[in-house]
Amino acid sequence: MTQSFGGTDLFDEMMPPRNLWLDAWDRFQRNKMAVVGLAIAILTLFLGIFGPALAPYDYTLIDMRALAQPPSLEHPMGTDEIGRDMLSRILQGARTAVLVAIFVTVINTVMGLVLGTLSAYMGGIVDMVIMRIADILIAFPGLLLAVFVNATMKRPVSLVSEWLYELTGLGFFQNTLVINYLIVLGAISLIGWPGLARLVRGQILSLREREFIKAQVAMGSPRWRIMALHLVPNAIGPLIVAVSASIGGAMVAESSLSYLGLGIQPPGASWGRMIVENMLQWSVYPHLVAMPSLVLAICVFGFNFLGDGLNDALNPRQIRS
Amino acid sequence: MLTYTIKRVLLFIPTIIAVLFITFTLGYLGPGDPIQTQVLRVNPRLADQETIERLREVYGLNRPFLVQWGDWVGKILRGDFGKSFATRTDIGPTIAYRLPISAQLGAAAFVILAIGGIFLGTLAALKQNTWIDHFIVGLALFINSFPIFVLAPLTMIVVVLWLKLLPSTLGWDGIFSAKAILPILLFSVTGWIGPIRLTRNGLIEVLSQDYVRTARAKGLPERLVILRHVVKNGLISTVTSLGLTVSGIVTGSLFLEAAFAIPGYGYMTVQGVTANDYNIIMATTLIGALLVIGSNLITDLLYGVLDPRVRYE
Repeated sequence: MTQSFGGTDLFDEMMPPRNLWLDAWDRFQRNKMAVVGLAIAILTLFLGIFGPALAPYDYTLIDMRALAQPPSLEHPMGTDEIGRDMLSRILQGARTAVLVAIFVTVINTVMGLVLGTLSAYMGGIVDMVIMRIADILIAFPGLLLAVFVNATMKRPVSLVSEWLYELTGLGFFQNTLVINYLIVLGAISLIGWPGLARLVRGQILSLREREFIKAQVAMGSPRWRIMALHLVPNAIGPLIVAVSASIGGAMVAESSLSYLGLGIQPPGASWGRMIVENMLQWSVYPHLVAMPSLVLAICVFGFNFLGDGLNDALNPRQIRS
Repeated sequence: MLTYTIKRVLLFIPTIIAVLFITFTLGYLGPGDPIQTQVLRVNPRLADQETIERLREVYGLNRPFLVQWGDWVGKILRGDFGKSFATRTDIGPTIAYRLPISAQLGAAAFVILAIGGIFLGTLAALKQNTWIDHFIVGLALFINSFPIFVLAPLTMIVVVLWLKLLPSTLGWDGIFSAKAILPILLFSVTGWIGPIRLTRNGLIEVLSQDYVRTARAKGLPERLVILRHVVKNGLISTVTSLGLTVSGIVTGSLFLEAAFAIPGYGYMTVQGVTANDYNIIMATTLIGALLVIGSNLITDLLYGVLDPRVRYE
């Protein structure tokens, strides 16, 4: 870098090397709400992974002498109607929320990226089939489809896993919690990928017309190489924005399913389930409803503002909003 | 416009067929053999193989899958959604009673959503990058972070328990009662971010156009510049996007009606899900999907009317 063009490195001393990511970070940290969102997001992920280990009590432990208590030194967030420590339950719920959010996001991103790229680059019949499936899935109101799939697929999935258990003898397939998670992940992923695949497809279609890709084609690079090394990396900015915005959505979707009594079943803890369980007593013990509600809202809020900040940072050409 | 309309309508037919197919397939796989389940529920002693076979024949369940699907679609077209597993009553009339309740709620929320969203979005655009702009967009984004089933209990605690503004908000006394205020309000504000953003960005884009500068340069009063040139062109995407909020209203009604105990379409769906009542779940999912498909079609057509360029793609 320094040796080229005239041999002076004065210019380099004045301007430290910059790249897309440094510029983006500069723009990102100017948005204070986004920085707060980032902090909340990191804290949520941390609590989702280590939270249950930090919990003061076992989240299923029933203390009959402490029913529906307000927050105290002994129970920082109070106890629920049957005397379980609220903080421990919320931390366990964080595990569920984060686990679902991470898995759903990974599945969606991979599916969106792979199917979107294939669709754009192969064109023809492949493109038509993938995009028609996406169109049909988008025609259903998102969460309603997840609810429907979750409600109808419970029996078939448990039958299949029972069959797998008999086939392999692995206790893993008999674990109802695993089956619950599988159904929830499948149902939420089903509604998430079409939007991402469309986004990636659009990005790649416009990139494909650019000179540097045409140059690769002219040089005779194999198709997979152009896709993996040139098209995908350049389409990734908007994808990061869409993905980070969808993490909060995945958390809401998980809570929504358990709010309706689908999703992760007791004794597994989920914020949505905690809200609906305590809803019956909302006017007597408002704090029991308020605790999980506020925690869920703060987490989603954090991820949404993070997504918004990333949008401004990574898509500078778009109008700020 | 006629060719465009026909093309759009024809494009929606395969989607509807696919939706009918998916709904039936999932509802078909879900409960397993309905006769077996029903017989076991009523009287397990009747469950000998012969009786089950006879019942399967009576209900046409031994026919090929596609024939059963065609039969189901035919019944739906005649408004027959089958019977509820739990109550043994016809689902069609139940829907006819419950859907209007949700429709009233949804329509009221939609009006507030549209008018409020466009008003606030316009305000944000005209005061671009001032504290008013940041406040409006930030607030809408903030509210948008709360799922409706979180916002419902929290506002109930504040409004009913602390401020004592309303006696109780649970139940349904018609759209013009005090009980409807909170649900409608929550329903509309949670969807605000979409129209606010689109209005704001649409107007800002138009404000920097040459023809707006020309209008100002020729001495047109600012009020007329905004009304005649900016609003008219800047709101195209907002108006068309309003159709897309229908999807949010349909899914939102599940949680809103469950939280406020409103006996509408959403509550019916939730009850069906809780009771594993597959016929109800199939019926409500199908109706939800058809509502969204219909609103998407209207959106497309509206786009064609407002923006003539779309018609000649």
